[in-house]
Amino acid sequence: MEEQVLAVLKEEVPEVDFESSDALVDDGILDSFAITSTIAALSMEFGITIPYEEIVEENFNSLPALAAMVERLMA
Amino acid sequence: MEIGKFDLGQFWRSLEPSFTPWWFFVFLAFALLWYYALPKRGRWVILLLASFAFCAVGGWQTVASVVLVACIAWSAGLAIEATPKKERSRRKLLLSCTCIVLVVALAYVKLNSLFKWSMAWFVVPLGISYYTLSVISYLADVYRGRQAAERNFLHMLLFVAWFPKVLEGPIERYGKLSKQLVDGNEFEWVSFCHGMQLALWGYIKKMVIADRIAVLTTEAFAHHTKYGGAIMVLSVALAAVQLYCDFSGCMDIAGGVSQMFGIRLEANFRQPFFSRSAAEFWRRWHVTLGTWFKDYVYMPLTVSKPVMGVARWARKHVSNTAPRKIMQVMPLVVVWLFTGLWHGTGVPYLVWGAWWGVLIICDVLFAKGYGRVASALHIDANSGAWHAFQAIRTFGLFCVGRLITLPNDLAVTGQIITSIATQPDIWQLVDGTLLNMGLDAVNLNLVVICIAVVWVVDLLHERGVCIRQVVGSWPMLVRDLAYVAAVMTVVVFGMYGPMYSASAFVYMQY
Repeated sequence: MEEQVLAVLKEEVPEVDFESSDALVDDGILDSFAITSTIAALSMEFGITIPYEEIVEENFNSLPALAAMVERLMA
Repeated sequence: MEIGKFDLGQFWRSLEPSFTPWWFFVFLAFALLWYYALPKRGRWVILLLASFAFCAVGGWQTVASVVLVACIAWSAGLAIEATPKKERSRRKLLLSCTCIVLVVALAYVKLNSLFKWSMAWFVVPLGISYYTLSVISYLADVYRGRQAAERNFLHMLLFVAWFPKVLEGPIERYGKLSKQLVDGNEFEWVSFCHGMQLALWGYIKKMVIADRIAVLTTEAFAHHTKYGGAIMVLSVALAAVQLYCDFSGCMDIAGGVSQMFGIRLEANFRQPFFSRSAAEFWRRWHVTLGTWFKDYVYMPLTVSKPVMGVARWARKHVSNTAPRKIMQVMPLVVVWLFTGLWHGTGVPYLVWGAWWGVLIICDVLFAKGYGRVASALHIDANSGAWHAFQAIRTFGLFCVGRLITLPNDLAVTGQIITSIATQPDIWQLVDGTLLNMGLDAVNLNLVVICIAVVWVVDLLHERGVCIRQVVGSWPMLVRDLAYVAAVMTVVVFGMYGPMYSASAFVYMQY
Protein backbone atom coordinates (compact mmCIF):
# COMPACT_ATOMS: atom_id res chain seq x y z
CA MET A 1 0.00 0.00 0.00
CA GLU A 2 2.84 2.35 0.87
CA GLU A 3 4.26 2.05 -2.67
CA GLN A 4 0.86 2.68 -4.25
CA VAL A 5 0.28 5.74 -2.09
CA LEU A 6 3.76 7.06 -2.90
CA ALA A 7 3.21 6.57 -6.64
CA VAL A 8 -0.06 8.52 -6.50
CA LEU A 9 1.43 11.33 -4.42
CA LYS A 10 4.54 11.63 -6.63
CA GLU A 11 2.24 12.07 -9.60
CA GLU A 12 -0.36 14.38 -8.03
CA VAL A 13 1.64 16.34 -5.42
CA PRO A 14 5.13 16.46 -6.97
CA GLU A 15 6.18 19.58 -5.04
CA VAL A 16 6.38 17.60 -1.77
CA ASP A 17 8.98 14.91 -1.01
CA PHE A 18 6.90 12.58 1.14
CA GLU A 19 9.91 10.41 2.01
CA SER A 20 11.96 13.30 3.36
CA SER A 21 10.55 13.42 6.89
CA ASP A 22 8.56 11.62 9.56
CA ALA A 23 7.13 14.95 10.68
CA LEU A 24 5.85 16.42 7.41
CA VAL A 25 3.20 18.56 9.12
CA ASP A 26 5.18 19.43 12.23
CA ASP A 27 8.20 20.45 10.11
CA GLY A 28 6.03 22.67 7.93
CA ILE A 29 6.69 20.64 4.75
CA LEU A 30 2.98 19.95 4.37
CA ASP A 31 1.08 23.25 4.70
CA SER A 32 -2.70 23.50 4.52
CA PHE A 33 -2.75 23.71 0.71
CA ALA A 34 -0.42 20.70 0.39
CA ILE A 35 -2.62 18.75 2.83
CA THR A 36 -5.64 19.60 0.65
CA SER A 37 -3.75 18.41 -2.45
CA THR A 38 -2.88 15.18 -0.63
CA ILE A 39 -6.49 14.65 0.43
CA ALA A 40 -7.68 15.34 -3.14
CA ALA A 41 -5.16 12.87 -4.63
CA LEU A 42 -5.88 10.06 -2.17
CA SER A 43 -9.67 10.54 -2.26
CA MET A 44 -9.83 10.51 -6.06
CA GLU A 45 -7.33 7.70 -6.71
CA PHE A 46 -8.44 5.28 -4.00
CA GLY A 47 -12.15 6.22 -4.02
CA ILE A 48 -12.18 6.94 -0.31
CA THR A 49 -13.74 9.70 1.78
CA ILE A 50 -11.40 11.09 4.41
CA PRO A 51 -13.58 12.28 7.31
CA TYR A 52 -12.72 15.43 9.25
CA GLU A 53 -11.76 13.38 12.32
CA GLU A 54 -8.93 11.77 10.33
CA ILE A 55 -7.33 15.10 9.41
CA VAL A 56 -4.83 15.11 12.26
CA GLU A 57 -1.03 15.53 12.24
CA GLU A 58 -0.44 11.87 13.11
CA ASN A 59 -2.11 10.72 9.88
CA PHE A 60 -0.23 13.17 7.62
CA ASN A 61 3.21 13.31 9.23
CA SER A 62 4.75 10.46 7.22
CA LEU A 63 4.25 8.21 4.23
CA PRO A 64 3.60 5.07 6.37
CA ALA A 65 0.97 7.00 8.37
CA LEU A 66 -0.74 8.13 5.17
CA ALA A 67 -0.69 4.58 3.79
CA ALA A 68 -2.11 3.21 7.05
CA MET A 69 -4.94 5.75 6.94
CA VAL A 70 -5.81 4.87 3.32
CA GLU A 71 -5.79 1.16 4.16
CA ARG A 72 -8.04 1.74 7.18
CA LEU A 73 -10.52 3.84 5.19
CA MET A 74 -10.63 1.33 2.34
CA ALA A 75 -11.44 -1.55 4.69
CA MET B 1 -21.91 53.02 47.61
CA GLU B 2 -20.36 56.18 49.03
CA ILE B 3 -17.39 56.06 51.41
CA GLY B 4 -17.10 59.60 52.75
CA LYS B 5 -16.97 61.70 49.60
CA PHE B 6 -15.60 58.82 47.55
CA ASP B 7 -18.23 57.21 45.32
CA LEU B 8 -17.09 53.62 44.76
CA GLY B 9 -19.77 52.97 42.11
CA GLN B 10 -18.75 55.99 40.09
CA PHE B 11 -15.09 55.07 40.46
CA TRP B 12 -15.79 51.52 39.25
CA ARG B 13 -17.76 52.80 36.25
CA SER B 14 -14.91 55.14 35.36
CA LEU B 15 -12.51 52.23 34.96
CA GLU B 16 -11.90 50.98 31.44
CA PRO B 17 -10.98 47.38 30.72
CA SER B 18 -7.54 47.77 29.21
CA PHE B 19 -3.83 47.21 29.78
CA THR B 20 -2.88 50.88 29.77
CA PRO B 21 -4.72 52.69 32.65
CA TRP B 22 -2.94 53.17 35.99
CA TRP B 23 -5.31 50.86 37.84
CA PHE B 24 -4.20 47.92 35.68
CA PHE B 25 -0.66 48.08 37.08
CA VAL B 26 -1.95 48.10 40.68
CA PHE B 27 -4.29 45.22 39.83
CA LEU B 28 -1.46 43.26 38.16
CA ALA B 29 0.90 43.78 41.12
CA PHE B 30 -1.75 42.48 43.55
CA ALA B 31 -2.58 39.50 41.33
CA LEU B 32 1.11 38.55 41.01
CA LEU B 33 1.74 38.91 44.75
CA TRP B 34 -1.21 36.73 45.67
CA TYR B 35 -0.45 34.22 42.92
CA TYR B 36 3.09 33.52 44.08
CA ALA B 37 2.21 33.83 47.77
CA LEU B 38 -0.33 31.00 47.69
CA PRO B 39 0.57 27.28 47.57
CA LYS B 40 0.91 25.97 44.00
CA ARG B 41 -2.28 23.93 44.15
CA GLY B 42 -4.53 26.91 44.81
CA ARG B 43 -2.92 29.45 42.51
CA TRP B 44 -5.43 28.98 39.72
CA VAL B 45 -8.11 30.39 42.05
CA ILE B 46 -6.24 33.72 42.09
CA LEU B 47 -6.12 33.67 38.29
CA LEU B 48 -9.86 33.06 38.18
CA LEU B 49 -10.63 35.83 40.68
CA ALA B 50 -8.31 38.26 38.87
CA SER B 51 -9.87 37.38 35.52
CA PHE B 52 -13.35 37.89 36.92
CA ALA B 53 -12.38 41.27 38.37
CA PHE B 54 -10.93 42.32 35.00
CA CYS B 55 -14.06 41.15 33.15
CA ALA B 56 -16.25 42.93 35.70
CA VAL B 57 -14.56 46.22 34.75
CA GLY B 58 -15.89 45.55 31.24
CA GLY B 59 -19.44 45.49 32.66
CA TRP B 60 -21.82 42.83 33.90
CA GLN B 61 -22.57 41.91 30.29
CA THR B 62 -19.00 40.67 29.91
CA VAL B 63 -19.19 38.61 33.10
CA ALA B 64 -22.54 37.13 32.05
CA SER B 65 -21.25 36.36 28.57
CA VAL B 66 -18.08 34.66 29.86
CA VAL B 67 -20.07 32.52 32.32
CA LEU B 68 -22.66 31.60 29.69
CA VAL B 69 -20.10 30.65 27.03
CA ALA B 70 -18.10 28.61 29.58
CA CYS B 71 -21.30 26.89 30.71
CA ILE B 72 -22.27 25.96 27.14
CA ALA B 73 -18.74 24.69 26.32
CA TRP B 74 -18.43 22.71 29.56
CA SER B 75 -21.81 20.96 29.28
CA ALA B 76 -21.59 20.33 25.52
CA GLY B 77 -18.03 18.96 25.87
CA LEU B 78 -19.20 16.47 28.49
CA ALA B 79 -22.23 15.50 26.38
CA ILE B 80 -20.13 14.89 23.25
CA GLU B 81 -17.62 12.79 25.18
CA ALA B 82 -20.37 10.79 26.85
CA THR B 83 -21.84 9.83 23.45
CA PRO B 84 -20.19 6.64 22.13
CA LYS B 85 -17.92 7.15 19.11
CA LYS B 86 -19.92 4.73 17.01
CA GLU B 87 -22.92 7.08 17.30
CA ARG B 88 -21.13 9.45 14.97
CA SER B 89 -24.18 11.30 13.71
CA ARG B 90 -25.39 12.02 17.26
CA ARG B 91 -21.97 13.36 18.25
CA LYS B 92 -21.92 15.45 15.09
CA LEU B 93 -25.41 16.79 15.83
CA LEU B 94 -24.36 17.79 19.36
CA LEU B 95 -21.26 19.55 18.04
CA SER B 96 -23.11 21.28 15.20
CA CYS B 97 -26.01 22.49 17.37
CA THR B 98 -23.66 23.89 20.03
CA CYS B 99 -21.49 25.64 17.43
CA ILE B 100 -24.59 27.10 15.76
CA VAL B 101 -25.83 28.44 19.12
CA LEU B 102 -22.43 30.03 19.82
CA VAL B 103 -22.07 31.50 16.32
CA VAL B 104 -25.66 32.81 16.27
CA ALA B 105 -25.11 34.43 19.69
CA LEU B 106 -21.91 36.04 18.39
CA ALA B 107 -23.61 37.21 15.19
CA TYR B 108 -26.54 38.61 17.22
CA VAL B 109 -24.20 40.54 19.49
CA LYS B 110 -22.27 41.95 16.54
CA LEU B 111 -25.36 42.88 14.52
CA ASN B 112 -26.91 44.36 17.64
CA SER B 113 -24.03 46.75 18.08
CA LEU B 114 -24.19 47.61 14.39
CA PHE B 115 -27.92 48.22 14.05
CA LYS B 116 -28.63 49.29 17.66
CA TRP B 117 -31.60 46.93 17.84
CA SER B 118 -31.93 46.64 21.58
CA MET B 119 -32.07 48.64 24.75
CA ALA B 120 -29.58 51.21 25.99
CA TRP B 121 -28.00 48.77 28.46
CA PHE B 122 -26.72 46.62 25.65
CA VAL B 123 -22.96 46.66 25.10
CA VAL B 124 -20.80 44.16 23.22
CA PRO B 125 -19.27 41.85 25.82
CA LEU B 126 -15.53 42.23 25.96
CA GLY B 127 -13.57 39.76 23.82
CA ILE B 128 -16.59 37.66 22.82
CA SER B 129 -15.25 37.19 19.26
CA TYR B 130 -12.08 35.65 20.65
CA TYR B 131 -13.28 33.29 23.37
CA THR B 132 -16.22 32.10 21.28
CA LEU B 133 -13.75 30.79 18.68
CA SER B 134 -11.59 29.28 21.45
CA VAL B 135 -14.46 27.23 22.86
CA ILE B 136 -15.57 26.12 19.38
CA SER B 137 -12.05 24.73 18.85
CA TYR B 138 -12.30 23.00 22.25
CA LEU B 139 -15.59 21.34 21.29
CA ALA B 140 -14.29 20.27 17.85
CA ASP B 141 -11.21 18.75 19.53
CA VAL B 142 -13.40 16.86 22.01
CA TYR B 143 -15.48 15.62 19.06
CA ARG B 144 -12.34 14.46 17.22
CA GLY B 145 -11.08 12.72 20.36
CA ARG B 146 -8.03 14.98 20.57
CA GLN B 147 -9.09 16.63 23.81
CA ALA B 148 -10.62 15.13 26.96
CA ALA B 149 -13.76 16.95 28.09
CA GLU B 150 -13.19 19.21 31.09
CA ARG B 151 -14.96 18.01 34.20
CA ASN B 152 -14.34 21.02 36.42
CA PHE B 153 -16.56 23.94 35.39
CA LEU B 154 -14.32 26.48 37.13
CA HIS B 155 -11.32 25.34 35.08
CA MET B 156 -13.35 25.92 31.91
CA LEU B 157 -14.41 29.32 33.24
CA LEU B 158 -10.76 30.26 33.84
CA PHE B 159 -9.80 29.19 30.29
CA VAL B 160 -12.53 31.42 28.82
CA ALA B 161 -11.93 34.41 31.11
CA TRP B 162 -8.09 34.44 31.49
CA PHE B 163 -7.61 38.20 31.62
CA PRO B 164 -4.48 38.78 29.49
CA LYS B 165 -6.18 37.18 26.48
CA VAL B 166 -9.74 38.33 27.03
CA LEU B 167 -9.33 41.71 25.28
CA GLU B 168 -7.99 40.69 21.87
CA GLY B 169 -6.94 37.05 22.12
CA PRO B 170 -4.79 35.21 21.10
CA ILE B 171 -7.38 32.57 20.22
CA GLU B 172 -5.97 29.84 22.43
CA ARG B 173 -6.44 26.05 22.24
CA TYR B 174 -7.71 24.40 25.40
CA GLY B 175 -5.06 21.65 25.44
CA LYS B 176 -2.18 24.11 25.39
CA LEU B 177 -3.44 26.72 27.83
CA SER B 178 -5.65 25.08 30.43
CA LYS B 179 -2.97 22.87 32.00
CA GLN B 180 -0.66 25.86 32.46
CA LEU B 181 -3.46 27.83 34.10
CA VAL B 182 -4.59 25.10 36.45
CA ASP B 183 -1.29 23.44 37.44
CA GLY B 184 0.26 26.53 39.01
CA ASN B 185 3.77 27.64 38.16
CA GLU B 186 6.93 28.13 40.20
CA PHE B 187 8.36 31.64 40.19
CA GLU B 188 11.21 31.80 37.65
CA TRP B 189 13.15 35.04 37.63
CA VAL B 190 14.39 34.75 34.02
CA SER B 191 10.95 33.94 32.64
CA PHE B 192 9.43 36.73 34.76
CA CYS B 193 11.96 39.24 33.36
CA HIS B 194 11.31 38.04 29.81
CA GLY B 195 7.60 38.61 30.42
CA MET B 196 8.25 42.13 31.69
CA GLN B 197 10.46 42.90 28.68
CA LEU B 198 7.86 41.65 26.25
CA ALA B 199 5.10 43.66 27.93
CA LEU B 200 7.32 46.77 27.97
CA TRP B 201 8.01 46.42 24.25
CA GLY B 202 4.26 46.08 23.73
CA TYR B 203 3.64 49.31 25.68
CA ILE B 204 6.23 51.12 23.55
CA LYS B 205 4.58 49.87 20.34
CA LYS B 206 1.12 50.80 21.57
CA MET B 207 1.60 54.05 23.48
CA VAL B 208 4.65 55.59 21.83
CA ILE B 209 4.14 54.54 18.21
CA ALA B 210 0.53 53.47 17.46
CA ASP B 211 -1.15 56.17 19.54
CA ARG B 212 1.20 58.82 18.13
CA ILE B 213 0.52 57.80 14.52
CA ALA B 214 -3.22 57.73 15.36
CA VAL B 215 -3.20 61.52 15.79
CA LEU B 216 -2.16 62.01 12.17
CA THR B 217 -4.28 59.25 10.61
CA THR B 218 -7.39 60.28 12.54
CA GLU B 219 -7.04 63.83 11.19
CA ALA B 220 -6.31 62.59 7.64
CA PHE B 221 -9.36 60.32 7.42
CA ALA B 222 -11.69 62.69 9.28
CA HIS B 223 -10.91 65.56 6.86
CA HIS B 224 -9.73 63.63 3.80
CA THR B 225 -11.10 66.23 1.38
CA LYS B 226 -8.61 68.77 2.76
CA TYR B 227 -5.63 66.67 1.76
CA GLY B 228 -4.09 65.62 -1.54
CA GLY B 229 -3.25 62.13 -2.73
CA ALA B 230 0.34 62.15 -1.47
CA ILE B 231 -0.71 62.86 2.12
CA MET B 232 -3.44 60.23 1.88
CA VAL B 233 -0.95 57.62 0.59
CA LEU B 234 1.33 58.43 3.52
CA SER B 235 -1.64 58.29 5.91
CA VAL B 236 -2.78 54.89 4.62
CA ALA B 237 0.77 53.49 4.96
CA LEU B 238 1.02 54.94 8.48
CA ALA B 239 -2.42 53.54 9.33
CA ALA B 240 -1.12 50.08 8.35
CA VAL B 241 1.91 50.49 10.64
CA GLN B 242 -0.38 51.89 13.36
CA LEU B 243 -2.60 48.81 13.21
CA TYR B 244 0.42 46.51 13.39
CA CYS B 245 1.93 48.36 16.37
CA ASP B 246 -1.46 48.56 18.11
CA PHE B 247 -2.46 44.93 17.69
CA SER B 248 0.96 43.31 18.02
CA GLY B 249 1.66 45.70 20.92
CA CYS B 250 -1.46 44.46 22.68
CA MET B 251 -0.40 40.85 21.99
CA ASP B 252 3.06 41.54 23.42
CA ILE B 253 1.50 43.04 26.56
CA ALA B 254 -0.88 40.07 26.86
CA GLY B 255 1.90 37.54 26.27
CA GLY B 256 4.29 39.36 28.60
CA VAL B 257 1.77 39.74 31.43
CA SER B 258 0.77 36.09 31.08
CA GLN B 259 4.42 35.01 31.13
CA MET B 260 4.91 36.89 34.40
CA PHE B 261 2.55 34.27 35.85
CA GLY B 262 4.59 31.55 34.09
CA ILE B 263 1.87 31.01 31.46
CA ARG B 264 2.82 31.08 27.77
CA LEU B 265 0.33 32.35 25.20
CA GLU B 266 0.51 31.56 21.49
CA ALA B 267 2.39 34.05 19.30
CA ASN B 268 -0.01 36.01 17.10
CA PHE B 269 2.54 37.75 14.87
CA ARG B 270 5.60 36.50 13.01
CA GLN B 271 7.02 39.59 11.30
CA PRO B 272 4.12 39.88 8.80
CA PHE B 273 5.67 42.74 6.81
CA PHE B 274 8.42 40.40 5.59
CA SER B 275 5.83 38.21 3.79
CA ARG B 276 6.37 37.48 0.12
CA SER B 277 2.71 36.86 -0.72
CA ALA B 278 -0.84 37.41 0.52
CA ALA B 279 -1.09 33.76 1.63
CA GLU B 280 2.18 34.02 3.58
CA PHE B 281 1.04 37.32 5.11
CA TRP B 282 -1.96 35.59 6.66
CA ARG B 283 0.27 32.86 8.06
CA ARG B 284 2.20 35.62 9.89
CA TRP B 285 -0.54 38.16 10.79
CA HIS B 286 -3.08 37.24 13.48
CA VAL B 287 -1.68 33.72 13.38
CA THR B 288 -4.14 32.19 15.84
CA LEU B 289 -7.14 33.40 13.83
CA GLY B 290 -5.61 31.99 10.64
CA THR B 291 -4.87 28.58 12.17
CA TRP B 292 -8.33 28.53 13.75
CA PHE B 293 -10.00 29.09 10.38
CA LYS B 294 -7.67 26.52 8.79
CA ASP B 295 -8.38 23.80 11.35
CA TYR B 296 -12.06 24.38 12.05
CA VAL B 297 -13.52 25.84 8.85
CA TYR B 298 -11.17 25.24 5.90
CA MET B 299 -10.35 21.57 6.62
CA PRO B 300 -13.92 20.43 7.47
CA LEU B 301 -15.16 22.15 4.30
CA THR B 302 -12.42 20.55 2.19
CA VAL B 303 -13.76 17.07 2.98
CA SER B 304 -17.43 18.08 3.14
CA LYS B 305 -19.94 16.32 0.91
CA PRO B 306 -20.69 19.30 -1.38
CA VAL B 307 -17.00 20.06 -2.04
CA MET B 308 -16.13 16.37 -2.55
CA GLY B 309 -19.14 16.00 -4.84
CA VAL B 310 -18.05 18.90 -7.06
CA ALA B 311 -14.44 17.62 -7.03
CA ARG B 312 -15.51 14.12 -8.16
CA TRP B 313 -17.72 15.60 -10.88
CA ALA B 314 -14.83 17.79 -12.07
CA ARG B 315 -12.45 14.83 -12.26
CA LYS B 316 -14.91 13.00 -14.47
CA HIS B 317 -15.87 15.94 -16.70
CA VAL B 318 -13.00 18.46 -16.54
CA SER B 319 -9.53 17.10 -15.79
CA ASN B 320 -7.47 15.09 -13.34
CA THR B 321 -6.03 18.22 -11.75
CA ALA B 322 -9.39 19.98 -11.29
CA PRO B 323 -10.35 18.28 -7.97
CA ARG B 324 -7.22 19.61 -6.28
CA LYS B 325 -7.96 23.20 -7.34
CA ILE B 326 -11.64 22.88 -6.41
CA MET B 327 -10.87 21.44 -2.97
CA GLN B 328 -8.43 24.28 -2.32
CA VAL B 329 -10.49 27.16 -3.69
CA MET B 330 -14.11 26.41 -2.67
CA PRO B 331 -13.38 26.37 1.10
CA LEU B 332 -11.27 29.53 0.72
CA VAL B 333 -14.31 31.44 -0.56
CA VAL B 334 -16.25 30.52 2.59
CA VAL B 335 -13.27 31.12 4.90
CA TRP B 336 -12.73 34.66 3.59
CA LEU B 337 -16.43 35.46 3.67
CA PHE B 338 -16.44 34.51 7.37
CA THR B 339 -13.10 36.21 8.06
CA GLY B 340 -14.57 39.42 6.66
CA LEU B 341 -17.74 39.05 8.76
CA TRP B 342 -15.71 38.24 11.88
CA HIS B 343 -13.88 41.55 11.55
CA GLY B 344 -17.06 43.56 11.02
CA THR B 345 -20.61 43.28 9.80
CA GLY B 346 -20.75 46.17 7.35
CA VAL B 347 -20.34 46.02 3.57
CA PRO B 348 -16.71 47.30 3.73
CA TYR B 349 -15.75 44.19 5.68
CA LEU B 350 -17.37 41.92 3.10
CA VAL B 351 -15.40 43.73 0.37
CA TRP B 352 -12.27 43.47 2.53
CA GLY B 353 -12.82 39.69 2.90
CA ALA B 354 -13.36 39.40 -0.86
CA TRP B 355 -10.17 41.40 -1.50
CA TRP B 356 -8.00 39.03 0.55
CA GLY B 357 -9.91 35.96 -0.67
CA VAL B 358 -9.28 36.84 -4.34
CA LEU B 359 -5.57 37.55 -3.66
CA ILE B 360 -5.04 34.25 -1.88
CA ILE B 361 -7.04 32.26 -4.43
CA CYS B 362 -4.86 33.84 -7.17
CA ASP B 363 -1.78 32.76 -5.19
CA VAL B 364 -3.11 29.20 -5.10
CA LEU B 365 -4.24 29.02 -8.73
CA PHE B 366 -1.37 30.83 -10.40
CA ALA B 367 1.63 30.00 -8.16
CA LYS B 368 3.28 27.94 -10.93
CA GLY B 369 2.54 30.66 -13.50
CA TYR B 370 4.12 33.33 -11.29
CA GLY B 371 7.21 31.13 -10.94
CA ARG B 372 7.44 30.62 -14.73
CA VAL B 373 7.12 34.38 -15.38
CA ALA B 374 9.85 35.10 -12.79
CA SER B 375 12.25 32.59 -14.35
CA ALA B 376 11.46 33.86 -17.88
CA LEU B 377 12.48 37.32 -16.65
CA HIS B 378 15.68 35.77 -15.19
CA ILE B 379 14.69 36.82 -11.67
CA ASP B 380 16.57 35.05 -8.92
CA ALA B 381 13.73 34.06 -6.60
CA ASN B 382 16.14 33.79 -3.67
CA SER B 383 17.76 37.20 -4.07
CA GLY B 384 17.36 39.80 -1.36
CA ALA B 385 16.18 42.41 -3.86
CA TRP B 386 13.35 40.15 -5.10
CA HIS B 387 12.35 39.36 -1.52
CA ALA B 388 12.33 43.09 -0.70
CA PHE B 389 10.16 43.78 -3.77
CA GLN B 390 7.73 41.03 -2.77
CA ALA B 391 7.56 42.30 0.82
CA ILE B 392 6.85 45.87 -0.35
CA ARG B 393 4.18 44.56 -2.75
CA THR B 394 2.53 42.60 0.09
CA PHE B 395 2.63 45.71 2.28
CA GLY B 396 0.93 47.62 -0.56
CA LEU B 397 -1.81 44.97 -0.74
CA PHE B 398 -2.29 45.25 3.02
CA CYS B 399 -2.57 49.04 2.71
CA VAL B 400 -5.34 48.64 0.12
CA GLY B 401 -7.18 46.35 2.54
CA ARG B 402 -6.75 48.94 5.30
CA LEU B 403 -8.12 51.64 2.99
CA ILE B 404 -11.25 49.53 2.38
CA THR B 405 -12.19 49.24 6.05
CA LEU B 406 -10.70 52.27 7.77
CA PRO B 407 -13.18 54.94 6.60
CA ASN B 408 -16.01 52.37 7.19
CA ASP B 409 -17.75 53.78 4.11
CA LEU B 410 -16.94 52.58 0.62
CA ALA B 411 -17.94 55.94 -0.87
CA VAL B 412 -15.22 57.63 1.20
CA THR B 413 -12.75 54.90 0.21
CA GLY B 414 -13.61 55.65 -3.42
CA GLN B 415 -13.12 59.40 -2.90
CA ILE B 416 -9.69 58.80 -1.34
CA ILE B 417 -8.63 56.49 -4.19
CA THR B 418 -9.80 59.11 -6.72
CA SER B 419 -7.86 61.80 -4.88
CA ILE B 420 -4.72 59.64 -4.86
CA ALA B 421 -5.06 58.99 -8.60
CA THR B 422 -6.01 62.48 -9.77
CA GLN B 423 -4.86 65.02 -7.22
CA PRO B 424 -1.53 64.00 -5.70
CA ASP B 425 -0.56 67.50 -4.40
CA ILE B 426 2.90 66.26 -3.55
CA TRP B 427 4.02 69.68 -2.27
CA GLN B 428 1.69 69.23 0.75
CA LEU B 429 4.35 66.91 2.12
CA VAL B 430 6.81 69.78 2.41
CA ASP B 431 4.79 73.02 2.51
CA GLY B 432 3.81 72.68 6.17
CA THR B 433 0.44 70.93 5.63
CA LEU B 434 1.85 67.72 7.08
CA LEU B 435 3.00 69.57 10.20
CA ASN B 436 -0.51 70.91 10.79
CA MET B 437 -2.11 67.49 11.14
CA GLY B 438 -1.58 67.18 14.89
CA LEU B 439 2.07 66.10 14.97
CA ASP B 440 4.88 68.65 14.90
CA ALA B 441 8.32 68.04 13.38
CA VAL B 442 9.71 66.52 16.59
CA ASN B 443 6.85 64.05 16.83
CA LEU B 444 7.04 63.17 13.14
CA ASN B 445 10.78 62.52 13.48
CA LEU B 446 10.06 60.40 16.53
CA VAL B 447 7.56 58.37 14.49
CA VAL B 448 10.17 57.78 11.77
CA ILE B 449 12.81 56.70 14.31
CA CYS B 450 10.35 54.40 16.10
CA ILE B 451 9.24 52.75 12.86
CA ALA B 452 12.91 52.16 12.01
CA VAL B 453 13.45 50.57 15.44
CA VAL B 454 10.40 48.29 15.01
CA TRP B 455 11.69 47.29 11.57
CA VAL B 456 15.16 46.45 12.93
CA VAL B 457 13.67 44.44 15.81
CA ASP B 458 11.48 42.50 13.36
CA LEU B 459 14.46 41.94 11.07
CA LEU B 460 16.46 40.50 13.98
CA HIS B 461 13.53 38.25 14.91
CA GLU B 462 13.31 37.20 11.26
CA ARG B 463 16.95 36.18 11.43
CA GLY B 464 16.31 34.11 14.53
CA VAL B 465 17.82 36.49 17.09
CA CYS B 466 16.00 36.39 20.44
CA ILE B 467 16.43 39.96 21.67
CA ARG B 468 15.16 39.14 25.16
CA GLN B 469 17.93 36.56 25.56
CA VAL B 470 20.49 39.03 24.25
CA VAL B 471 19.31 41.67 26.74
CA GLY B 472 19.28 39.02 29.47
CA SER B 473 22.94 38.23 28.78
CA TRP B 474 24.06 41.84 29.31
CA PRO B 475 25.81 42.83 32.59
CA MET B 476 23.28 43.63 35.29
CA LEU B 477 23.96 47.37 35.36
CA VAL B 478 23.62 47.77 31.59
CA ARG B 479 20.51 45.59 31.55
CA ASP B 480 18.86 47.55 34.36
CA LEU B 481 19.69 50.83 32.62
CA ALA B 482 18.06 49.45 29.46
CA TYR B 483 14.91 48.59 31.45
CA VAL B 484 14.80 52.06 32.98
CA ALA B 485 15.31 53.62 29.53
CA ALA B 486 12.44 51.53 28.13
CA VAL B 487 10.11 52.53 30.99
CA MET B 488 11.12 56.16 30.61
CA THR B 489 10.43 55.94 26.87
CA VAL B 490 6.83 54.95 27.62
CA VAL B 491 6.45 57.56 30.37
CA VAL B 492 8.04 60.43 28.44
CA PHE B 493 7.02 59.65 24.88
CA GLY B 494 3.76 57.75 25.50
CA MET B 495 0.67 59.54 24.25
CA TYR B 496 -1.67 60.89 26.92
CA GLY B 497 -4.18 63.68 27.08
CA PRO B 498 -7.65 64.55 25.91
CA MET B 499 -7.07 63.95 22.20
CA TYR B 500 -6.08 60.34 22.55
CA SER B 501 -7.61 57.27 24.05
CA ALA B 502 -4.57 55.26 25.04
CA SER B 503 -6.78 52.61 26.55
CA ALA B 504 -8.65 51.55 23.41
CA PHE B 505 -6.99 48.90 21.27
CA VAL B 506 -8.14 48.73 17.65
CA TYR B 507 -8.84 44.99 17.65
CA MET B 508 -11.03 45.27 20.79
CA GLN B 509 -13.92 46.30 18.52
CA TYR B 510 -13.85 42.86 16.85
